[in-house]
Amino acid sequence: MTNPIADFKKADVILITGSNPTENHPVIALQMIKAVQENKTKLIVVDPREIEIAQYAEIRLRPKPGTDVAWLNGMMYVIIDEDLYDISYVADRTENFMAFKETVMRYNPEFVEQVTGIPAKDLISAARLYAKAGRGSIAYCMGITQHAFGTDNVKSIANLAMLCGNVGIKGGGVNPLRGQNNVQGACDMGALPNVLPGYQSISDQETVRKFEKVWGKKLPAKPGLAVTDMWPAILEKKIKGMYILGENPVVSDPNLKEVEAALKKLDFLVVQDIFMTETAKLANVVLPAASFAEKEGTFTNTERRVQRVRQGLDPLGDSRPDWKIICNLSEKMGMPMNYDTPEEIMEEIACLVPIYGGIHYERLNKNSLQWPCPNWEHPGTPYLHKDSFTRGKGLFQSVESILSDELPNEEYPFLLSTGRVLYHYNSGTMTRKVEGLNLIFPEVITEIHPLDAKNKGIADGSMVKITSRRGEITTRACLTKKSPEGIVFIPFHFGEAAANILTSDTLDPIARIPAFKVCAVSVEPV
Amino acid sequence: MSKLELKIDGQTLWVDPGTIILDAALKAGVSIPTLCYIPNKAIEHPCGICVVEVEGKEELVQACSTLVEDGMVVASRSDRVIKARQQVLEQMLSRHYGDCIAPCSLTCPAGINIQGYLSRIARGEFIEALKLIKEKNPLPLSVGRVCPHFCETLCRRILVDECLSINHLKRFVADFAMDHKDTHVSPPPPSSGYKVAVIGGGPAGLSAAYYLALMGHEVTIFEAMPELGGMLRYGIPEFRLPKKVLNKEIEDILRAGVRPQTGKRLGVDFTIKSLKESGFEAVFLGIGAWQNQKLDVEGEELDGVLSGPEFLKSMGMGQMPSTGRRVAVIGGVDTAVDTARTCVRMGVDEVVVIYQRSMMEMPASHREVIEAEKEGVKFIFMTGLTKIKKEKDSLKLETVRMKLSTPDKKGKRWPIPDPGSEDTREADTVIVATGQFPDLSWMELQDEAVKPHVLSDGTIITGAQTFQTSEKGVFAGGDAVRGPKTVIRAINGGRKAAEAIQTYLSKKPLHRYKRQLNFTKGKKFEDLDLHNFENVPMRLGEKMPVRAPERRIRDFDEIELGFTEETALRESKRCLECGCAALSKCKLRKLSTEYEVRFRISSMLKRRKYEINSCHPFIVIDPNKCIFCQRCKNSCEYDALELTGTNFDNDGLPEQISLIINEKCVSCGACVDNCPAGGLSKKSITLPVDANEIKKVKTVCPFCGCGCVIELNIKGNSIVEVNADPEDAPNFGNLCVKGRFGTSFVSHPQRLKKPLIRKRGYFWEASWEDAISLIAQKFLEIRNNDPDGLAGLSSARCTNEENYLLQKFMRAVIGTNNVDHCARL
Repeated sequence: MTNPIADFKKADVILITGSNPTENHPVIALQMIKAVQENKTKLIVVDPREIEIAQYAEIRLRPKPGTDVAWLNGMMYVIIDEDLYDISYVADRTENFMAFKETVMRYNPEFVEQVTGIPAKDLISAARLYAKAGRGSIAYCMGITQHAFGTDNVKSIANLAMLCGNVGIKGGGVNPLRGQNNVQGACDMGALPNVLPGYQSISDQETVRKFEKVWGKKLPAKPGLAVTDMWPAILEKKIKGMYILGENPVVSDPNLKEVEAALKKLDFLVVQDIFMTETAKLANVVLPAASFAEKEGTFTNTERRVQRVRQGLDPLGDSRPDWKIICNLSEKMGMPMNYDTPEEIMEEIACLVPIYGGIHYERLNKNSLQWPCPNWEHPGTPYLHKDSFTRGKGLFQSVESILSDELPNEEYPFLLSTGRVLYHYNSGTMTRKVEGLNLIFPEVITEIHPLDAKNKGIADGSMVKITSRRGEITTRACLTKKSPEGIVFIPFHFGEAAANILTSDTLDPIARIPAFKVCAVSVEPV
Repeated sequence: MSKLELKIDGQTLWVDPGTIILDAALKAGVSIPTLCYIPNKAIEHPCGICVVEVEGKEELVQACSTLVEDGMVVASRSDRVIKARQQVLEQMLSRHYGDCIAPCSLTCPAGINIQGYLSRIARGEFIEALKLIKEKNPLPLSVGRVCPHFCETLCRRILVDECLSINHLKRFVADFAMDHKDTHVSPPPPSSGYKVAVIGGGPAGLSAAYYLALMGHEVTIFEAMPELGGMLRYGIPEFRLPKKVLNKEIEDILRAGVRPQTGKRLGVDFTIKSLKESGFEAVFLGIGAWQNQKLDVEGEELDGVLSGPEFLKSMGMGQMPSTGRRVAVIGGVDTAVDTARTCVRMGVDEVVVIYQRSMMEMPASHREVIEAEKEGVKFIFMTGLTKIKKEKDSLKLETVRMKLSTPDKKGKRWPIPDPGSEDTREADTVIVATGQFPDLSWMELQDEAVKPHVLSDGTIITGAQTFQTSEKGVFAGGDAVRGPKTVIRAINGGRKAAEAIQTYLSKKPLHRYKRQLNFTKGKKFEDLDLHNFENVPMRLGEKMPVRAPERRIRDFDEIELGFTEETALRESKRCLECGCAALSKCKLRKLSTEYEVRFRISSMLKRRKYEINSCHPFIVIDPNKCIFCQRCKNSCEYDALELTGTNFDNDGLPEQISLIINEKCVSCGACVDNCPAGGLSKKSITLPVDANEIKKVKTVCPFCGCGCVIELNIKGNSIVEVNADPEDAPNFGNLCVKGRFGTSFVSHPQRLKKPLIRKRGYFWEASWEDAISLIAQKFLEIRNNDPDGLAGLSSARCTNEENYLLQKFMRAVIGTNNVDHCARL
C-alpha cells in the first residue's frame, strides 16, 4: 500500500476493485464502512460479484471477469474527455502522458460497455465521482492481480490514480490489500527468485559484493525460478530436491494434479510446518516448526508496517522456530549461521537492506515502523511517493485490454473464480483446526446464481460436479445472487475438494501469477 | 479555542472544550469506574457508576456524559460518591445469577483451580494440568493418594448422577508426569539474598520451602527424623502412599533449590534463637503434631499398650513392632484406621477398632473405614474404654456402651456411658490413636529465647492472614497451628506462610486482603435450582481400580492402581464447568470487591430466569448474568446484537431482558470482549482464571495482511483468549473472527511435535540430529552436482527473519536463486 490503512477514513472516495474486504480483510473493511457511515466517504465498488461491501457503495459496477483494463481505460477516457484530471500534477510529477492518452482515448464508454457489460452511464458517473472527489483512494487485491494480464491491470490502476493526482497524498493512494500476514515481509526479505532482500537487483554488482562480503560466500548470478515455474522444472528433472517452509502448494497452487505429480517426482523433499499438511504427506523428512505464538520475530503488514511478533508460549513438543531449524541445517552443511536471537538477524537485515536500515528491535519494542526507514533517526514512511516518485517522475504506461484465453464455451459454459471466505484462511491448515470456524463453514461450496441453478436443475445444498479442462471436484451448491449469472465461485481452503484441481496454471508473463480468477468450467448436478 | 481549567481530586489540569469529565480524569491519572461507556456512543440507560461530585451541584453527575466546564471542581472519591457507587453495584448484583468460582475450587482447602485443571485433562494437556495444581500444591503425588476429597463433596454433578473423581484425576496427572519424567520443576530463580529456615520436613514445611525457593530465597529445611516427609512418611502407611512415590515427590521439591538438613531436632541440635543468630531472616515452624493424646484410662501405661502414631512411625522406619494375635485400636481418627489396616497386613488375626461415637461422627475418612472393613477390620462403635488390665499373657479391656447426652448449652451432645452395659474383651496389644498435639518440649529449654505464644490445646497461635506468631519473623503453619488436620490443609498453611514471609522480607506490611466477592448459585445442594441441570445427560463416574481385599491384605503394596489415560479423559469430560468463563474480564466482581460492597448472598436471585443460549459458535449468552450495561449492543458494528429491556424499575434496571445475536453477526467478538460481566462469554474459555494470573503478550495476528496487533492472554502454556488494545495501530482494538477466535490451532493435538523421516513408505519419529544430518547429506549430494537442482519455498506465515534466513540459506549455502514463496497465491 502506498498509504496507511488509517487513511481510508481520510479519503473522500474509495474505489474498491478485485477485493472483497469483508471476507478477506475484515478489519480494513470495517474502517472503510465506518468512513462511509461517519465521514461521508463515497464508495465505488467494481466487481463482477455482488460482494457484501457493495451495499455501502454509491456506485457499483459489475464488469465481466477479466475485463479490468477496459473499464479502467474507459474511466480514464471520461476523466480526460471531461477535463476532470489533475492537470498540474500530471504536468509536474508524471511523464509519458501523451502516449498514454492516445491509448486511453480508444476506450469510449460505449465501446467499454460492449467489452465489460458495464452500462456507459454508470461508468461515466463512476469516473466523475472518483475524479471530482478531493482525495481518492484505490484499494485492490487478487481480483486484479490473479489474471494472465495481472501486471497490466495494476499498471492501469496506477495510471488512474496518477491521472487524478492521488498518489503521495493523505487519503489517496494505490493500495493493494495483501492477503497473508507476512506476504509483504516475505517479498521484502528477498524470498523471491529475481531480487535480493529489499528488492535489490541480483545483477547489480555493487549490491552483490555487499552481500558477498557480509555472507562470506559467492552469490549465484543466474536468476532462479518462480514457484509456478518450479513444478514444470521438476517434471523436466531440472530440480531434484526441495525445501518447503510453511507452504501447502498441494492445496494452494493452480493445477494441483501437476503440482502433486511434481512433488512426487522429487528425489528429496523436506517440509517444515506446524501440521501434517497435504504437502508434508509427500515429504521425505518433515520438521516440526513452532507456531507464531511460540517465537520472536517481526511481520510486515500490507501497509509496510514492521511489527514485533512476540513469544507467548513455549514451543509445543520438540518443535523449533523456523529460524533455528535453518541455522541448525546450515551449520550441518558446513556454514554456521551464528544467531542467538531473531534480533541479531534483524540487525544484519538493517545493515544490508536500505529500506529496513532503521529497523531495530529496540525501536520496534516501542512502536511499529513503516518502511522505507533508512536509518535510526528516520520516523518511517506512512506515505510512499510523497513529493516525488521513487523513480523520479510517475510513468504513465499505455495498456491495452486483452481477453482471457480461458473463455467459456459450450463444453465449459461457466467462469470460475476462486477466493477466500471470512471464516477460513488459505489452505485451511490453521483455520480448519478451529472448532467454531468449522461449525460456521464446515465444507467447500460452489456459489451459483439461482437462475443458473434452475436451468441446470440444481437445488440449494445439493451436490454438484465442477469440471474444467484440468480436473473435476464435487461440492455442495449454494444458491446466491452474489455470483452473477454465468459465474461460479469456490473458496480454495478445502484440500479434500480443492478448487485448484480446476484452475489454470496460465501465468502473467511478468509476475508469474496464476489466473485464478478466470477459469472455464461446467457445472452439473450429481 | 482556549482550554478549560478543571480541578479533580485536588489536581488541576486544562482540557479542550467538549471533553467529558471521564476522559479528563483519565488524563489526570484518576480512574473513574464505568460499566457502560463506549466512546462516541449515546447510552440509552447509563449504568450510573461513574458518578462524581461537582462543587456547587446538589446532585451527583455522571462523568461519562457531563462536559467539563471552566473552573469545575470535581471530587471522584468522596464518601458520597463511594456510597452511590456501592448502591449501583448492589442493585446490579441483586439481578446477577451465577457462580464466579466453581464450588469444588471454593471447597478445596488449598483453593486449587480444579475446574481449570479438569479442563486441561479433558484436552489431553496433562502437564498443563499439573502446573495448575502445583501452583497451590507441590505434593500432588501424595495428596492425590491421601486427600479426603473435600472438593468432591460439593460437586454439582451429584445433582445429575454422581460427583467427579477429582482427586483420582489429580493423582493421574501427577503419576503421568512422574512416569513421563516431566514433573515440571522450574529451575531456581535468581537469589533474593535472604536465608529462610523451615523447621519440620512434613507437608507444611515442604510446601513452605518449595514456594519460598521459587521466590528466590535460600531455604534450609531442618528435620528431626532421618528422612523428610513428616507424617507422609511416618504416619501414612505404605499401602496408601508408597515411599517410592513420596521420595520422588520430595526429590522434586529439593530440585526447586531447597537444602535438607535431616536428623536435626529443634531444642536438641539448634534453637530458633541460634538460627536467627546464624543469619536466617525468617523462620517457619512446621513442626506438626506428634504427641499422642492420653486416654486418661487406668492401665494406659501397661506393657502392650502402644501409641498409634509411634506404631506407624516404627513401621515407617522399617521396623515391625510385635503385636500378638489380637489387636484393639482405640480411637476414631485416620491414624486409628491406618493402624488397624497395618495390623491386618502384619498377619494379626483379630483387629478391632473401638470408638465411642457412631460412624457418622468419626473424623476418619469414611471411604477408608469402608475399605478397612472389607479387609477384615471390625469396628465397634458407641463403645468406651474404661480400664485396661494385665491378665496372664494378654490384656483385658473393660468397655461400656455409650449413649449421647442431652444437648449442652451449645447444643452439642456428648457420649456418656450407659450404665449396665459394661462388657470386657481380650487383646494382646492395645493401640491408642485418639488424637495428637504439637511437641513443644523445646520451649522449655533455657537456651531458647524465642517462644511463640501457645493456646491451651498446645497449638501455636498465628495471625489468621499473616501466619506470623507472637515472635517477629517467626511464622508457623500446618498441624502445629491448627492441630492434626489433613495434608492439604498443612500444605495450604505452608504456602500461605511462604507468601507472608515474602511480604515480611520485602519489608511490606503484612496486610489484610480485601474480601473477594464470590457469587454462587447456592452453597448447599438444597439451595440450587435444578433447572440448571435440565439438559445434562446422565453419565456415571469412572471407578478407581483397586486390588481385591483378599489379595492386598497379604502385602503392603499400594491398593489403588490409578486411572488410565482413557478413564481420566472420560472422567474429566463429565465436569459441568460451574465457574464463570468470564472471570478474568469481570468488572462487576472487580468493582464490587474494590468498593467492598456488602452484598448478602442470601439476597441474590434464587433461580435462573433465562435459558442459557449456546447456539452461537463462539459466544455463550447467559442473560442471568446480564447487568444491562448495553455495551454489547453499543460495541457491535454490524447491528447484530438485539438487547431489549422491559418493565424498568425505580433503579432504572429492567425486569425482563432479551439478548439475541441475529444473523448479521460475523463473529468478530467485539460484544463479548466489551461485556463487563458474564452475560456474554467465550465458549473457548475452559480455563477460568483471575485477571491477575494472566500474562498478556502483544503480538501480530497470523492471518490476513492487515497485521492486527493482538493480545494473547496466557496462563501456563495455554492461550486463554485473544483480544486487542484500542491504542494499537493498525486495528485500534478491532479484530475479526479469526483474530479473536482462530488461534486455538496452536495447541491442537495434531500439531507436529517430532521430526519425522520416511522409511519404506511410512513416517518414523526421529531425533533432530538424525533428521538434520539426513537433510544435510541429501542436499549436499544434490548441490554438489548442480546447485540449481535444489529449490526453496519460504512462507508468508514465517517471520521476516526466517524469510531472510531461508533465502540466505538458498543463495549462500546452496548457491541458487531458486527461492520463492506464495505471494501470488
